[in-house]
Amino acid sequence: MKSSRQIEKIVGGARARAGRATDERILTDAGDALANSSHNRPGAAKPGPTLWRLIMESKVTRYSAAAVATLAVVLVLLNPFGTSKNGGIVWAEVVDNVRQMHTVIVEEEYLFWTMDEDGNILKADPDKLDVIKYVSEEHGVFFDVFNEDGPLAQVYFLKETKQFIAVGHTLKKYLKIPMVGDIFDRIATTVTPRGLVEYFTSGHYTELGSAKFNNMDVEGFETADPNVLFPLPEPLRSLFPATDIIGRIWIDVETSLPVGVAAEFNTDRGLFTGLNKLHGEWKSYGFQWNAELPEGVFEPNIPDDYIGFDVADFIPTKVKAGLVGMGMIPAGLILWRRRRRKGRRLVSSKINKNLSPPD
Amino acid sequence: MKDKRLVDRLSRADPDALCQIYHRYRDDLLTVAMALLADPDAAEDCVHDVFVHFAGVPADMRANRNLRGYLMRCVANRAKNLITRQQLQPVHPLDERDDAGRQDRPEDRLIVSEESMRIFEAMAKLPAEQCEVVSLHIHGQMKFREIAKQLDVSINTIQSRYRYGLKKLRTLL
Repeated sequence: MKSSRQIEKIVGGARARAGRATDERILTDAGDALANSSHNRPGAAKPGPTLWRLIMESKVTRYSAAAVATLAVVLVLLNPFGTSKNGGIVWAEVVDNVRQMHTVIVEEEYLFWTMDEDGNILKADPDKLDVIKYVSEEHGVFFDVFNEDGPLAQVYFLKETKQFIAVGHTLKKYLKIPMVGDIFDRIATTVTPRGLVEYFTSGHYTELGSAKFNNMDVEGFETADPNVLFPLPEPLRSLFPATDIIGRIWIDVETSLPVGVAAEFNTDRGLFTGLNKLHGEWKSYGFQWNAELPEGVFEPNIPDDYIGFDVADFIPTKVKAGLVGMGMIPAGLILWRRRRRKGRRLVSSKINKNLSPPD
Repeated sequence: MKDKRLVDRLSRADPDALCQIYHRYRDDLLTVAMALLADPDAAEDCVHDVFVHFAGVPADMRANRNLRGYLMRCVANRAKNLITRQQLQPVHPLDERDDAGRQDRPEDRLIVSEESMRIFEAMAKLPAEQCEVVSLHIHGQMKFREIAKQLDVSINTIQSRYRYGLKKLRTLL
């Protein structure tokens, strides 16, 4: 049998070379792409200060890059709705109007505060995310996430392929998860106008009366029904254990269409809350119903040099230990890291010993 | 001219810079693609797509520190995606390929000797992660540390993949 060195030599001898036609084809097409490129192309990935850094470093969602998407899902699902006739608003009319809407563009704002064990806010300044959400009954949902410093991430729920895709630019990583069966349908349905209608016609609410919202005459409704506000199946709910949810919706009296949605909630410690208790606030505004969506908005832009990652990479060891106990991840993953740490400790103790002054 | 200067010029949409980058790295990139795909047409498509994307992305997304590593990683990622999606046809020897759709003469296209093809086909039988490391190290002339950084994997993992890859190749070649 050949030695490793011989194998290396044989493999190194295998080469491919470009012929004239290959050169011509690639250079022509790449030249066209260069000529048509724009440094400020909308939707193109730009490194920004970082949803992903926020996720990894913030106490809010440090341990899971999927948290952004999950939070987005969770928050999108916090749509409070009721039934029948109330005050000046006729719900049947709202339902009918929304049913005719096949797309919507919404601006959203998310604020998170970390709480201590007693529910006291630990830090006055919240972590803040801004989102523009594009909803298409045909294609799914796209979240363009940014903060005051610039674009941070893109999150997709694609209807045709039943995929969840999150792209984070600062770490140059992406996450693709097939969303099978019921979960995808529930999420996709809930974030489309038709799905909203279903929530309009279920659950309980209280009337908030007439109000002004963005200079519009509106009527408000409030609900705290967790089955309406948080319709995730139990395994997912325990990852983001939202509690004490209050949701409000404002309906434009003139058009009988929703023009504002807001929610406040607290969470227990969960994997997707970075094992912290959180207080969160979320609001949606600037609804553009039946808006023409930008071309290509549902085509994920994942640069070639981005690396896919596993959610398990971001789970803290103590949580992994629990998951090992439940047989959800292999023990080798934990033991291997412990061996590495132990090895490092040995090395560092040897160094310290060498540096110690002689007795 | 150094890579960084070329990338700077490319950022100003200089086609000559694109041409120089292409000629500097094309054969190494095609070889890495061949090692992973063992299919000349797919390998050419892979490198084609990488360069088209590379030329079209905004300037700040282009690698300006390690252009070679960046392009190698792009090609390896795209090739692995192709494998994952099972978009490739089963591998056939070169002389059995269907050339009906191509107008170019064979010598104008991707040039791979029969011996090289035999080696690429053997490499394609490795798990993609092992093949990737072996090819990036040998064909891409990348150090293990550099590969580890580009793939965001520990250097120990990279070295293990390389060792296992070579071990399997010893039985295949």
